[in-house]
Amino acid sequence: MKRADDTAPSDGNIAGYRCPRCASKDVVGRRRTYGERTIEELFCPRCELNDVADSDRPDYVARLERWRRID
Amino acid sequence: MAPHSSAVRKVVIAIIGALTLGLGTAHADRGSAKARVFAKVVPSHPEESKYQLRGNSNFQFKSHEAPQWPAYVQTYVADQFKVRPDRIKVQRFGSGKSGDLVFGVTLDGKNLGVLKVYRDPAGASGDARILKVVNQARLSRYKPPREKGGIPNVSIDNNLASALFTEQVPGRSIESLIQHTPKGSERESHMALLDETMRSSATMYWELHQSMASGGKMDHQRKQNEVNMILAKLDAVRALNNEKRFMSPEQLSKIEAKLRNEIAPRFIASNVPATAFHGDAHVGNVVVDDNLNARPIDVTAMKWSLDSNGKGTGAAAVDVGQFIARLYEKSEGALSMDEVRRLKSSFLSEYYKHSKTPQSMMEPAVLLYAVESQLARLQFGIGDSRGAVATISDLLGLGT
Repeated sequence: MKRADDTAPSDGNIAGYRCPRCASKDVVGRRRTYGERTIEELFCPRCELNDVADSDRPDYVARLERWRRID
Repeated sequence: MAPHSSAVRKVVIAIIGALTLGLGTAHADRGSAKARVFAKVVPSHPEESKYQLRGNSNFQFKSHEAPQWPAYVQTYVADQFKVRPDRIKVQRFGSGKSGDLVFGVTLDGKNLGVLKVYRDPAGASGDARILKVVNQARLSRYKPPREKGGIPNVSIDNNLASALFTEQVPGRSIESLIQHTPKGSERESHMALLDETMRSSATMYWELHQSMASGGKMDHQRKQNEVNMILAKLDAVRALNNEKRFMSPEQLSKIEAKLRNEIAPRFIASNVPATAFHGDAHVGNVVVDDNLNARPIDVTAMKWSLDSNGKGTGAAAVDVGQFIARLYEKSEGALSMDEVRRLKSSFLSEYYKHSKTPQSMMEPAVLLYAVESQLARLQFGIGDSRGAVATISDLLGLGT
């Protein structure tokens, strides 16, 4: 539900992420560093796809790339 | 009357004298604490801004050559800057077992910058874009490292990577100051210094939130999306708790009820402004100089607060909440719970002193993001789970 005082929904984010399953650009995310380890969480509110890119794992870059928009 | 007045005057003078002496001693103690902690800080090179990596070049990092990487970077940088290699020193930060590769570069013993090599091929350009957006906002306190070029073609083990060269922010991270809190008589003056770093950090984040506010309120749907993401995390932690028993099921139920039924609805109902945030706010990502001016480092997570036009869409509370929650985490083993609460109070008082958004309006969001950061620790097995549980309990006032 939208209110009159809300800002317009954003057209994606500056990093150009989009959901790999439903292509929504309203992706929500977090990036936290723990010493050298980086954990990036990606969540699509539309289809509820959840993903984690963990720099301790070999698929870290592939996970991030999966969520990047291809225009 | 005269003798009485004279006696009173003497007492007043004595009190003023004692207070002045006390204040003078406190200042002197803080001064010596500062001198002690900043004694070994390497200053920036006087011509630091002149040294930029703008040429077309390439660099291949191979894991089996990792011990030689600093020497290879030294040769590369010396060649790019046309200086004798022995004048350049390169130090690798961290062991590089995980995440990105980071090298500190000095010329004649003075800082020239930091070369960060991202495993993500889009990492360097993403950070450069964020730094440009912040630079255009012309902030006076929230000043991330200046961008100074990079290496256009870089790979790690034949996988495409990316690299950015930035200013090395001179000073020490607040995390290192906390970790080196002395015991004994110097402890109080060090705590006073840490109080100042809290106030300086609060002002820095406040400036970002204030100056990069979009002018509108945070989108209702965005708030709902954020809550859904956080509550999904709660489900993940509950599943893990059945196996690992971080806490009793009753304690987890209390936390869940507080978040789901009380804090989340209050956040969704609040009219918080939409703005940019740092996104990974913690004492390890704030560097202070010897005047205790705070500056942010590692701005990558700002991408989660900026739309495709570089406009702020998030909640300031992401930084405020994470900063205070991770203060507990980063102080484990160095500060007592009372000392952490003292620093948290210094940070929050200063932040709300400046903020146009009242504390009562921001509080639900602050608590939500603070607790979320500790749920993430439990979910991903970061550090001591008892520390994360104790932090959540303290933040929510649930007791232990």
